[in-house]
Amino acid sequence: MLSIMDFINDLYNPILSFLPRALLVAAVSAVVCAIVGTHVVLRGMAFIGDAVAHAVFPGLAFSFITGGSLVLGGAVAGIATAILVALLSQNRRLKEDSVIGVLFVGAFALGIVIISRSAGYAGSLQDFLFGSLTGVSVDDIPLMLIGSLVVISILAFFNKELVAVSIDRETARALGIPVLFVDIVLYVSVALAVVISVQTIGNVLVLALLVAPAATARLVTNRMSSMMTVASILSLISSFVGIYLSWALDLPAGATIVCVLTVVFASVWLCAPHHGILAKYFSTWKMHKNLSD
Amino acid sequence: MNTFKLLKNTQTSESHISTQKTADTSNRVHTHEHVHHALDVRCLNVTASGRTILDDVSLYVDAGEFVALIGPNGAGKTTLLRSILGLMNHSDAGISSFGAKLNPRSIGYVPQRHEFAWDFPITVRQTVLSGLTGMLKFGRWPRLEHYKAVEEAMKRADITHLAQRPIGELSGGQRQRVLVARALALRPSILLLDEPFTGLDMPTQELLNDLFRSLAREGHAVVMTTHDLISALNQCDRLYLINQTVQACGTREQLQDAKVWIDTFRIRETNPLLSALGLITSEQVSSGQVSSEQEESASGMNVPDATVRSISEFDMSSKNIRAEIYLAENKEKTCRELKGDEE
Repeated sequence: MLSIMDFINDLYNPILSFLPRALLVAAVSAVVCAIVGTHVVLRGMAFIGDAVAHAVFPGLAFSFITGGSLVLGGAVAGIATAILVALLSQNRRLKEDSVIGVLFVGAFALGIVIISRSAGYAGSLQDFLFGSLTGVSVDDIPLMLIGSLVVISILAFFNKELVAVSIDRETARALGIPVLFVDIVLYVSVALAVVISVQTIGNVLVLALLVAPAATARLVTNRMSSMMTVASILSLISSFVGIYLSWALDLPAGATIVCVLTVVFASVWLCAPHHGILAKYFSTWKMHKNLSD
Repeated sequence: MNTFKLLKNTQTSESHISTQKTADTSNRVHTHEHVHHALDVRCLNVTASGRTILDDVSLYVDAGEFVALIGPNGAGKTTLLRSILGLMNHSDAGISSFGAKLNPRSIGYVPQRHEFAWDFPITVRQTVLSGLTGMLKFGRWPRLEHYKAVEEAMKRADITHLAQRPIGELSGGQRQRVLVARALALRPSILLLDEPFTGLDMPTQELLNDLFRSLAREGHAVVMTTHDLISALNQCDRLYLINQTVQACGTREQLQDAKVWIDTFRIRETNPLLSALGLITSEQVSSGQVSSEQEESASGMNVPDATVRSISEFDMSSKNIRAEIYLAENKEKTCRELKGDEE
C-alpha cells in the first residue's frame, strides 16, 4: 500500500495534476456541505437534501451531452427543483415527503434518459453517480470556488432568519419573516453545495457529505457555530483520508470518503463524552453500582 | 339577521355581559368608546374549506387584564389566536388596538411548547434574541438596544441565570418562561399565550400564573387559551367561553350559570366538571356554610338533592379541588380588600 509520504509526493507530480485538483474540490465541498448540512440536520430535512441532490442530475446530464458547463447546468436544475419543492410543500393536502418522492425520482429518471442519448454513456453515468478523482476539469475550478463563497455568504447573511424559522416556524410567520423565501434560500444553498461536490463524490453519495459530518458534530456540540466548525473539520479530515485511501488502494473516491465519514460517525456515536452510547451505558452502570453498594 | 348577530356578539366594557342569551342588545355596537381597549376584535369570521370555524367572534381585552379563552377541543381557540396574528384568512369588522388598526407584528406570541424545536443547539439568550428577528431587517445585526430588550425580557421572566444554558437542558416550566421572554423582547402591549400550562405540574403552573398576572398588572393585555378551567376561573380577570362563537363572557362571578358551561363544553348536567367549578354548590359557598363544607360533602348530609347526585359521582380529589376554589376565592377577596385599602 502507498504510504502517506508517497501520496504527498504524488500530489506534487505534474503528470498527476488532477490529484491536487480533486483534493482541492473535495476540501471545498467538505466545508460547504458541512455548513449547509448543519442547517439540513437541524431542520430534519435530510430527505429534501436527497431530493435536491438527485434533481441536479438532469442538469448535469444535459450539460454533459451538449458540452456546456457542468456546474452551471447542475445549478440551474437544482435551483429549479429547490423552488418547486418549496412551493409544492406549502400545500398541506399532500405530505411533503410524497411530493419530494415523486419529484426526485422523476428528475433522476429524466437525467438518465438524457444521458442515455450520448454514446458510451455507461462510463460517464458511473462517474456522475459515484464520483471520480479525474472528473474535475480545470475550467470548473474558479466557478466552484466562487460558488462556495456565494453559498457561505448567503447562509451567513440569512443566518438569523434561518434559525428563527428552524426553531419555530409558526412564530417566525407571526413575526413577519417570509418563511417561504427563507425555505427557498436554504434549498437553493443545498442545491449549490451538491453541484460543487457532485463531481468528486458523486450524485448518489453526496447526501452523506451533507448529513454525516453535521450529525456527528451534533453529538459533541451544543452551539450552532461550534457544530459548523466541528462538522467542517471532521469533513475535511475524512475527505483527505478518503482520497488518500482511494488513491492508495485504488478504490472509488466518493465511496471511500463516505465510508470514512460513516466510520467517524459510528465511533463518535459510540464514544461521545456525554451523548455517546458507551457514556450513557457507563453512567447507568455506575448508578446501579452505587445503588447496590 | 346579520345586525342581530352583530349586536348579539359584541360586548361593551362597562357592563360585563355574562351570557349571550341574557345579553342586553341595546347600545352594543363597538364605537368610539372601545378606543381604549388594548385588543378589540369585532365580528371575526373564519371558514376553512366550506366549514365555519369561527362565527362572528367579538372580544376585547384591556391593558392590565388577564383574560382566558376557554372551550372544548376544536372550538376554535387557536384559530382565533392565529387570526389575530394575521396567520389565517378571515373576515372581520376590524381588529384594533387603542383605536388604531392592530399591527400583528407588535403582538407578543407564545406558541404551544411543542411547536418549538427544543433540540436545536442554541442558548436561552439567543432564543430570546430570535424574537426580534422580524423587527430587524435582512442582514442586520442586533444592536445595543436590542440586547438591552433581551436582558430586560429575561429578567422579567426570571431566566437570567439560565442565559447561557442550551435550551435542550431546560425543564418544562423553564421552557415556557423562555417562550414568554422571547415574546416580551418585542416589548409588546398584547401577549397571546397558547395553552401555556399543558403538561406542567401544579407548582410550575402556580409560578407561571403569578408571572402572567404580574405582567398584566404591569399594563400588558394578557390573553391565554387553556384547558385548565379551575385555574383560569381563579386567576383570570375575565373569561371568554368559546365554541365556534363567544358563548359567554365575564368575570368568575358573572359565569355562575351552569347552563352556559353545559352549552359551551357540550357536557351533561351531571358532569363532575360543574361541581369542580363550584357551579352546582355555589349557594353553599355564598351562604357562608363553607367552613364545614368539606365534612358535609364527605358525609353527603345537609346538601341539596341536586348536589348529592353530582357529588356521589364525584371522587375525593375533586372535593379537594372545591376546597381549593374556596381558598382561592378567599384569597381573591383579600386581594380585593387590600386593593381597596390602597385606593
